[in-house]
Amino acid sequence: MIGPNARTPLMCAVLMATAVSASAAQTPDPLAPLDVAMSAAEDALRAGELHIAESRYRSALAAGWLLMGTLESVERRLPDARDAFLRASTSTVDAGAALQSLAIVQLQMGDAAGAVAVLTRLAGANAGDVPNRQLLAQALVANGQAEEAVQALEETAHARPDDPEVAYALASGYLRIGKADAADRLFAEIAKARPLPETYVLIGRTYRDAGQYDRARRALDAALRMDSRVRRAHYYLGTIAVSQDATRLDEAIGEFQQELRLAPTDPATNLRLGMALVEARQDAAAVPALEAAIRTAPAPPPEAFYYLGRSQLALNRATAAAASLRRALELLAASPEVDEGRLRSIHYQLALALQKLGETGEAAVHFAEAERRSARLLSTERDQLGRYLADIRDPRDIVPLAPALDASSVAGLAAEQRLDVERRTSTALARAYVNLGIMQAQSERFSRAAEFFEQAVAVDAIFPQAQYSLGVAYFNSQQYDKAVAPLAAALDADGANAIVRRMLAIAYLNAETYDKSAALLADDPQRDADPSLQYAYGLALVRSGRAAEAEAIFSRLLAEHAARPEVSVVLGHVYAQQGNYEAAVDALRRALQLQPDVADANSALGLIYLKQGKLPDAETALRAELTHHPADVKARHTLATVLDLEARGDQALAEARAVVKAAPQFADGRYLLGKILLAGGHAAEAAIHLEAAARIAPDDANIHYQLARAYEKLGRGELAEKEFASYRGLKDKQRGKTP
Amino acid sequence: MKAPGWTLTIAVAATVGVQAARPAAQGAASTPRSVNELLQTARRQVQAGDAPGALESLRDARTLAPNSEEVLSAIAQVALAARLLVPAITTLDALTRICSTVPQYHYLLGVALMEAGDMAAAVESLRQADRLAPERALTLTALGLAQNSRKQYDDARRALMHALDLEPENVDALAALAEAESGVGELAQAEEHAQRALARFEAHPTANLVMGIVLMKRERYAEARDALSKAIAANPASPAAHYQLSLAYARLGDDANARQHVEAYQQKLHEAEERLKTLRAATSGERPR
Repeated sequence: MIGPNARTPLMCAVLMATAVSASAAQTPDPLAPLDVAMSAAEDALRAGELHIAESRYRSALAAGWLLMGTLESVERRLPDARDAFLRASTSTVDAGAALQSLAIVQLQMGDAAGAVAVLTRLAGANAGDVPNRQLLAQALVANGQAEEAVQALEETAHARPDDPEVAYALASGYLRIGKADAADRLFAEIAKARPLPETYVLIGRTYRDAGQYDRARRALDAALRMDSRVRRAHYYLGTIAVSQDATRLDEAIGEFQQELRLAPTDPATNLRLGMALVEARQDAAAVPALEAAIRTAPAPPPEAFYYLGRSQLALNRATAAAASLRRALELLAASPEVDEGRLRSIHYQLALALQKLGETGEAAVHFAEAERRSARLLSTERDQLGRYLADIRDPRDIVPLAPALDASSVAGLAAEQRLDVERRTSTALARAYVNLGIMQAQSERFSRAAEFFEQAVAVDAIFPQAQYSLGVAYFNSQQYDKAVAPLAAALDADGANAIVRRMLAIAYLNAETYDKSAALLADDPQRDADPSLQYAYGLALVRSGRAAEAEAIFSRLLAEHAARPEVSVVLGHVYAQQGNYEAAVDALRRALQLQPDVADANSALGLIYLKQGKLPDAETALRAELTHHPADVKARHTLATVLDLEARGDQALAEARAVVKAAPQFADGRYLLGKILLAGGHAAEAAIHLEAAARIAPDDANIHYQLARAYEKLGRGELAEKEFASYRGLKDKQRGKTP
Repeated sequence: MKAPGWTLTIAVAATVGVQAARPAAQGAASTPRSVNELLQTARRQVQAGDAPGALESLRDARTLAPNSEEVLSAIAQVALAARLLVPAITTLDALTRICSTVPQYHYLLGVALMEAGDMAAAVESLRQADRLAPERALTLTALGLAQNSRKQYDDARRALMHALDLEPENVDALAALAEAESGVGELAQAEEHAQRALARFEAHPTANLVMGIVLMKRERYAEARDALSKAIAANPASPAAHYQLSLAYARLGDDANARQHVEAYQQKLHEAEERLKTLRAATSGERPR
């Protein structure tokens, strides 16, 4: 909208200590803060100062996201801007600028409650933080908390008694809540401190906005008495005349004309004059004013074209009228809020123009559109047009109240230049994230590293090494299912990279995508020389149903690496899996002969003996495994099972508790502990573990059965029945699957 | 069966190099002092019991690397150990914001907030720590303690029972469970758990407080007085223990002592409120969420 209020901060420059801005002289490079931070980080990296490098990369992230948010805000992509400022606020310790920007965007999006929450934490306890306290007051007003806003401003005014900007904001707040006398007092102090005609103009405008027209007139008259050429006084007097009484159009026209003598090309005054002249049926005089408004405004509003169209139509210039009204329709359609009443009027006027031009078909369409929008909107429409002419803010309209972001660094850029800045910012952000991730990876914190690499990929999916690094981080943190996609992307980008290919194959294997794993390992040139790869390949073949090929692999593996105990262990597992316990036991014993403390051999033997019902042998083997590898949770779990089967409850319980302590998310461990506790009469404690087991493994029927029994013993019949039902459902499902 | 660990070593060594946008500038700015050196100095100072010196070294490190996780973490831990709650909380606030997925920082923040008396904020932080790293007895115990302070006894009981599953020997969790049970009126269980805690640690303040409350409800005022006196001896800052002891003395007809402990109760409450006010004033700007 054209108007002195539009997109200007609440506080006018007249109250500032210095009114002259040098910002227009030279546009700063928007990427400068980001470049400085990146450069400083890389210098620190080269100097081996990793802490400083990390700190500066984080500063670079904050600078980058602030810039990104500003760019998105300028392009009115407000949800993206909000996300960017949120990221900026979580990048560095000092989040003040990011949070302030976040709150401004929230206000612009109409999320006043969100802005209040952010600003209350940011400046709630610091009455001296003037900018954020003012912003908080505005957010409170937008959130319907005018009283609280005034209270916040009163606290700030108390902390900063000589700050005219605060006094002005407080006086405006008083007007909002109807305390005109309190406002008078503060405005008088401001005027006394700065006895300039511009001060009175500002005060007059503020009274006008609050509907205090007599007070407004007095202030504006005082301004004109001090300087008859002061800008805006006549303009505001004109708008007041219209606001007070729609029949005082002549008085308004006179004031607007006086204002134009001082500033002939002012688009806001030309527009209001044109509108007033149309309303006064002086169409011939209106046309040049409205054309001047359209010519000089950077973004003329639909109202300018609508009124121009009306006046042109009244002057029988139907072709020009139709063009103007079509433009008004276009602009209105592109505006974020649909104004039904105004649309109806434009369609109606356009229909009249088209009818005059003989284009009856198209005219009928627009008449129908006008008809469709209910006639009951008429009063609203008139009201809104009247308000527009009077340049009055709609009190419900939050957005114009919200302060604008400081977008000076990008405001002067063309769309293409902004796109280029955005692209370079994304690249810098990706680089910062990748390097932060690498620092984490170098400290072997692979999950943390993956978080940074994820961010890098999110801002720039093709950033060099980002996908590869992400894949490696997930791989090393044993999150194989998550490693697959980035490693596949890295392999797409560099098909000849054998390391990536191998990692992807192993990731597939662990993610149980055996056919893809086998396909990748089939051509691996290192496979023949590396028994672990051979084993992986064999396993992938077995699991993808290619048993004959797998057998050949395993036979060769054993022939070539007979002295390696790990190979025998693997073979033992394979035989056991196939149910060939005799061969499995032989292979595992051979492994133990080669290396008595080889991992997993005794554990596998223990499991086989358990399946064969040889409980004392199982216990011996499992205890041997735990002697050498006490952290082997699965071996301890099997031992607890064996002891439980041997009815050695206390020993079983101790082992089961140790399992749960070491691996609380191991569902089988929780289940066993719960089962042992239940059998021992500790139903309440058993229920806790069985509930946890059910959360971890909801599809395990046995867990639901034991949990149902625990609930039964606790007298919780309804829950018990629910669990029994789950048990039966899961069992039925299993039976359905079994041929 | 998954591939055994040794098959995976092939890829663990895969490394990636740090990305640099441009070659090293001629005469790159030299670093005035090494953050690593400052961290090592701080470690030595902590070992020597010189917490103020360590904090000074860490502040220097922070000047050089204000957003370094390790520096911030060190500051928080030294400040917490020295019971300098405001710097600990503000630093942990920043850490939980910039490293939001690290459960340890949320846990430490929760503990610091508990120490400072801001139980509502403590519960929030500890819940977040529990969400990020479930099944940790330490977190669950702290959460239960904070929830007890908020009189959220059902929630506290769940957290504490869970903590005791994971660490059956945790005497703090056991005493806190007794407090939660006492809060919901399950006096028999409260007494049993408090006694089990006292069997392991006779002077445990929470267990003695619970015993005092239980005995008061059973109108065994002299025994209650003794238990509550032990609770206060172990934790003189507990307003609840002073309040209960004032009631016990009143029931025993000892008005002077009753009055004295009412006053102590009021004073402790006032101190706690003041501490909270100071904390909130000092940290409000640091804790935007």
